[in-house]
Amino acid sequence: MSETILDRIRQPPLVRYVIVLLVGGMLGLAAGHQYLVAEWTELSLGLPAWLWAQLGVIAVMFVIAWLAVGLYAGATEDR
Amino acid sequence: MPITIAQAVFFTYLFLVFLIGVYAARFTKYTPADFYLADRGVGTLVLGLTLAATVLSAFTVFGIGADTSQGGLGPFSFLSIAAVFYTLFFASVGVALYRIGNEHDIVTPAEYIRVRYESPVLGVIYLSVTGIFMLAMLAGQLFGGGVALDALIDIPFTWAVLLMAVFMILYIHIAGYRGVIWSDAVQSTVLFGVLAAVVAYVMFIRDSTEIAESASQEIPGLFDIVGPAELWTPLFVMTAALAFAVGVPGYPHTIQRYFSAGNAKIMRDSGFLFAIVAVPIYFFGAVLGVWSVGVIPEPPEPDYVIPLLVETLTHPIVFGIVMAGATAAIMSTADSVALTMSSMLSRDVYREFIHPDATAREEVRATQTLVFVLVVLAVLLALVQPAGIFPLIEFAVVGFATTTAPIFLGVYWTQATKTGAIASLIFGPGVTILLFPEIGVIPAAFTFGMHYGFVGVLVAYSTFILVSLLSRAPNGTAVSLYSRSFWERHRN
Repeated sequence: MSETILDRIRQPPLVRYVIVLLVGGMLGLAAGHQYLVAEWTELSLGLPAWLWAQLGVIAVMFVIAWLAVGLYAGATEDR
Repeated sequence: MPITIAQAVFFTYLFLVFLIGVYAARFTKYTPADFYLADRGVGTLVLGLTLAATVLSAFTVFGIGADTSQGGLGPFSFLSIAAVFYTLFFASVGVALYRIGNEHDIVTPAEYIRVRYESPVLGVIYLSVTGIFMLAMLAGQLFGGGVALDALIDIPFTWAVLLMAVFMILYIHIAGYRGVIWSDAVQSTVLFGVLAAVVAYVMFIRDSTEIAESASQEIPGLFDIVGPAELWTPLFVMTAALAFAVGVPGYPHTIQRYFSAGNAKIMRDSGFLFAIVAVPIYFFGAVLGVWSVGVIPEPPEPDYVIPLLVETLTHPIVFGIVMAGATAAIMSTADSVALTMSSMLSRDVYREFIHPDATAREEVRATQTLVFVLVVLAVLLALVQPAGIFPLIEFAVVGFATTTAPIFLGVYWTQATKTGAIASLIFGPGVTILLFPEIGVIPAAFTFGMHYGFVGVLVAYSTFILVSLLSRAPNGTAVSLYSRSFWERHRN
């Protein structure tokens, strides 16, 4: 049966690089969004727009973390 | 003097928590594995909630309010970023330590250090260094709770501290880890619920925008991402987040929870549950803190702003529940710290050096005695009030971060050595203590704009790596196959 791209991503050695990329992406998002949203100071429901945007960024980071953890668990599960 | 509604709610809650301990005692066996780890059978929901309760402390209701009401929303930025990274630590190192704990019958973090580096002395050094920060954490919790209960519901400070201490000693004594985690599960749920309800009330029933505009007129720049003093730069936020991301999963009482997970999947899932509970709670605390400026522009004490806001805007019953939730946050952290520290002293000092022939029951009795002694010490320190709540707890968190190199790197790196661990445990915490603003021996200029805890982490990890490379590694089989497998499998 032919291998899909997803199958190859889950296997060594590619999985290690994918995980590093995902974690790097999380760091980039965490640091970078602070520069992008700094001027979004208009209040909505008593909170600045940058804070609402940050909540969205945190949610995206959770999704990425979940993907990374899933790949790592799959790569280390069978002994 | 008649009892107030808030006092009645508070005392009722305290009694209910004690009843949870009494119920848990029915299932508690007085063996080390059960008294310290509930027999390594904790499920996802309880493990996730106890992780949340353990981490969310006096800081969550008092400290974060003080910090955000004066300095803006930066604390939420770094805490929420750190929380996402906790999931990665729990899923990697947490799972590895869970497996190692099972493989080697390890129940305490100091025991892991002792076994991994084949050095009982190193186990004692680890215990001593983390002990400094554990006492700071424990005292900070009691101090915070005592101050708040005194100012807000008129329970005298000393009595409030003693009351919390006595309740903790009692339910830990009779129910051990099971009593701690079951009460934690309830306490984190109460905290989440009550803070969510208050935020929703202010946001949707009251005019939160008007409150916020009033706050921003009172302190210009309060709602800027960097805060009114421009402290929360991206560099400062990221380094604080990374220091906490390393520190929180490295708390000795967090590490002990890894050993208690029912299986690896539970460990991973509970890490996510913990973060999903923690981020909203941080959010609730942070926004209540900034909003408080619009309602109480000149609070008698910054640490009280959140409870005072609740008291001003809501009913006394709600205020009583918030105070109960705050006390819940305090006790859920303090009891975990007390149990972990006493279990390490009992297993890794008493049983290892003083009474090697101690039976399981004797070891648990030693732990119960040590819980009492440690809580008394923390009470005495709390009565001295050495620093503000947030600085004291922050000091403990970043201090723990500087002790994690031997734990985290030791799980994966076969070249990690005992000498590297000792050097790391001296220099990392040492630099952190000297940089601590309340002590200030090393000037803040030497942090170059980074959080001082992150600087300590850099020193700890670089020292560990450098000295390990220059010294002789222990037996390679000391590193569990469970931790080496990922990298070794993918080396080809």
